[in-house]
Amino acid sequence: MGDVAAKLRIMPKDVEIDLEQLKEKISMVLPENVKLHGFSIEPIAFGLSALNVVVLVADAEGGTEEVEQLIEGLDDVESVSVVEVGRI
Amino acid sequence: MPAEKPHMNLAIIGHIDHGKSTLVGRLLYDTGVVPPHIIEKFKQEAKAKGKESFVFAWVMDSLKEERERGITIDIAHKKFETDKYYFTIVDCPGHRDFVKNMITGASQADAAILVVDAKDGVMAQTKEHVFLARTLGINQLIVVINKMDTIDYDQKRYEEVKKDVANLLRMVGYKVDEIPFIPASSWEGDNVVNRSDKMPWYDGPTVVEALDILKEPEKPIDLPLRIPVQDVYSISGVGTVPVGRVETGKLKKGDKVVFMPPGIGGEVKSIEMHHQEIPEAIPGDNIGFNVRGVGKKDIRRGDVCGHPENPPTVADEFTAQIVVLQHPTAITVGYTPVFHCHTAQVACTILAIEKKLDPRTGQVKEENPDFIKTGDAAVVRVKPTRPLVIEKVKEIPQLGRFAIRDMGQTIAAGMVIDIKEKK
Ligand SMILES: Nc1nc2c(ncn2[C@@H]2O[C@H](COP(=O)(O)OP(=O)(O)OP(=O)(O)O)[C@@H](O)[C@H]2O)c(=O)[nH]1
Repeated sequence: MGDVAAKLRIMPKDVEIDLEQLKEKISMVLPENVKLHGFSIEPIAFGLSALNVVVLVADAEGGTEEVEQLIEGLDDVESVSVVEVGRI
Repeated sequence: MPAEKPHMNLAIIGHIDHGKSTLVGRLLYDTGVVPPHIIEKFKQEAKAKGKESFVFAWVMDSLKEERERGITIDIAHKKFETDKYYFTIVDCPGHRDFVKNMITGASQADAAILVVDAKDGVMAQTKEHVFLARTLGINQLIVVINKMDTIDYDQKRYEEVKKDVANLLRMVGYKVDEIPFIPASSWEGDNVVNRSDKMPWYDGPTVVEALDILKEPEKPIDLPLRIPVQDVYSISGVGTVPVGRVETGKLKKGDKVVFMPPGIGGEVKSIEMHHQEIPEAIPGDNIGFNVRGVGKKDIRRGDVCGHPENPPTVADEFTAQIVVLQHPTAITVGYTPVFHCHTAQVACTILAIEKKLDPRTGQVKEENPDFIKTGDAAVVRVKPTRPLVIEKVKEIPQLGRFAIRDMGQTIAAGMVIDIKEKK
């Protein structure tokens, strides 16, 4: 088994949230065994944008649940969903 | 101008070490996707060292490195094309906890290649993946009996393995007559892209030929409208805006819609995607839409938007076929884990275990068993502890599958066979 890349879509609590600041907060909560690969901002609708983040987790560790929960625990975050996974 | 080739997502499944990555490498290599500079570099290196047969192995390694570098803000899926289709490889992680992502995520596979080692034959994960493929709604399958070089391309052994795999597939409900079985060696390149001269007894298709005879997947746009709500916002100057991905059907500006389970209706004033107003949204679109007559407090994550003429189904109880992936003890009647289905997460109680199925023979092994455990497949009756929208997998597959989680693990996956509607 190798590494698994996962793309998470993070929805902010409201339109006003600063996504640049949110990036920093996310980088800080990620555990050591999770490698952060990159962020992108995806415009959705009516001024609302999602923050997408790609992380690398070990296949053997299993699942994205821990990362999802850590990010969901941040004040500015409304929801986290895994939109894609793939082995590398 | 020639029409665009249709696009397909292809999953590669099979037991650990049976050759999934090698098969993918061979498909990319022999269809000419691997950049020529990589091949050239290794060819020269191999020549210098007098190890020409190593070229393919080195290419495999460097592909992995290139991919690792390529992943930045997007997941670089492997892609290749055949005469008829563009394929994207949906690379399924081995760990069972990723099953939830495969069920609720976006990259649903349209077809799968099952790789089975000719020497080992059917193994534990072969069974599990076959069950999962069925549960995930992958209806088209190609079976590759791989590593034929390790058994001297022996027809007798191939037939044995083929028979075992066919039994397994029949059991979970695949139409075995429609599935190609291909003896191949991914390592040597036999019958993957190029026809092998080492198995004159085989006259069926190569892997690439089999890929070309796959049927184009049915377009979810022709099904009734279903948009599972991801989040709901109240945006000043706009109003209530649910956000989500269109799973099936079509949403048009001006449509009357209803959100289930609450049963609240309204009218779509505008739809936006990428901050652009669009007249209609189709499956795969991530949209926000403004609905008149619906307040932020009226609806929430897990509700599903549809048209009032064909509203999303709210289940009082449902019958499902499940496969237990990992459970420390046993699942019995009364057990109430959390079901993850589209964007909903609802605790549901197992009311009855109706049948246990035998993965070997395909027969019902036991009627009303007392319990089921890891590796078992079963038909169960389930009652959600609060209203839940779910659909029969035969009618709207996108909303008919679920993962069951408990104790921080994905313990089972399943599909809905029948529903007793809530009145
Ligand atoms: N002789 C021979 N060896 C093969 C063939 N295909 C794969 N192998 C070898 O089998 C081993 C496992 O192959 P992989 O492609 O890594 O298998 P996998 O199914 O992707 O394995 P996991 O990712 O660990 O699940 C490797 O050492 C390959 O070189 C084949 O057709 N013939």
